[in-house]
Amino acid sequence: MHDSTDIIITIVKRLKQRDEKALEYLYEHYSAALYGVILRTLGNEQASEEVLQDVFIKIWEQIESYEPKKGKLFTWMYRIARNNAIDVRRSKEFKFSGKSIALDSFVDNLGKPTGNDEHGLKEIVDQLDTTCTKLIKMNFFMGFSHKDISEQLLIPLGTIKTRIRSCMGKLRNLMEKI
Amino acid sequence: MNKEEIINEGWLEAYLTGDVSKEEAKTIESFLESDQEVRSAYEKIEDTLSKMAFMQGVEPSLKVKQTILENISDIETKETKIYNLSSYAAAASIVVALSLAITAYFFWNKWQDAETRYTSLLTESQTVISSLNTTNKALEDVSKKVEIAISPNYKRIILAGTDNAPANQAIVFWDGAQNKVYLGTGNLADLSNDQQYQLWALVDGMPIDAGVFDPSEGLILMKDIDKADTFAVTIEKKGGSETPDLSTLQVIGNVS
Repeated sequence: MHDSTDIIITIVKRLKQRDEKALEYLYEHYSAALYGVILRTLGNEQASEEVLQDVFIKIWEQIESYEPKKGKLFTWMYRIARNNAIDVRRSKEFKFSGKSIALDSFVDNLGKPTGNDEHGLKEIVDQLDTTCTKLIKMNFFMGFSHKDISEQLLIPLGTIKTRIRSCMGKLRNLMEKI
Repeated sequence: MNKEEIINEGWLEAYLTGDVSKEEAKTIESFLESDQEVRSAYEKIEDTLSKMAFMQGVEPSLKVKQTILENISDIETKETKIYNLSSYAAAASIVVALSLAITAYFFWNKWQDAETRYTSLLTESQTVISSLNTTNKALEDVSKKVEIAISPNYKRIILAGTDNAPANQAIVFWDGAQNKVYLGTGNLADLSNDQQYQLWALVDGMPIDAGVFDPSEGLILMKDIDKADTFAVTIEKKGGSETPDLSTLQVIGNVS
């Protein structure tokens, strides 16, 4: 569900006014999307749920630092989630014990059915070439940096930016067709 | 980096995932803020991301939401407590300040009261003192009069009115042995400022000055007179004269 700009503006305002209902709204609408990113980054449910908690508490505590001129609210929340998950993965305490997340397919076997399959994720992924799928998934949904990707997929670092741009463009086109 | 590079070479996607340096990010941000084309291009990328994110979303367990809301409540309660504490302290100090002010005013009022009463008490006592003086004086006069009246040593000479003042009367008490002369001014009227009554004792027609006086309540002690046939009162200039102006003769009486 994508909220209109007006709804988002209201939510942000209410959050700043310490309205807990506004945070509840964000959780109801956006927690799954953020949890997917965190889970794919860490591969561990318990750790991921802890990170998700921390992320929403951070959203609550740092809402004053969100600047609309720098981007959309979801992007801001996404960044908090992605960075938090990466920090946990890099920490000494965390042992990356990922379930086998098939890199080839976006539709993972993560043990939990997602209600969003109905939204045609499989169809899109089927139509997107393997490399683009890998690039987008690793960079956007698994918390890998361009450097990580360059090393793992053996693609020159300097080409990754343009490749990703091209893949995102393809993905956008496929989505518009649905 | 120029605008075309930023849009076409994947800088915006890299900025979104954080795959740029701090300087690069600053440059991109300034373009985002100032250039609508760059901003639109970025928004498209944001849209694609959020759509994908929803598509790949995974539901977390229910307890996560509970924990989040509990934590938020705790944070807010703590902050509210602190806020309340400080506002309570503020309120309390206001109450203290206020009650100090009220107490101070209360005592100031009482002090003012006391001041006023003290002042009026002073005034009262002064009034009492002065009326006491008056009474004393009156008492003195009366006792003097009585003393003289009952004393066998004093001769009573009534001074009767003349053509100048037919209705006037005065009285002289003369102690021939000690030569004391007391004058009762009777109904003699007040004079103007430049005039004064003068008492004369006449011996063989010769006038002797017995002193000047003004009309008064009590008996006035005049000058000593050892000999007198007659006592008389004239009007002279203030302070008296050496010889009487007999044309102003007021009252006169012979010594019997």
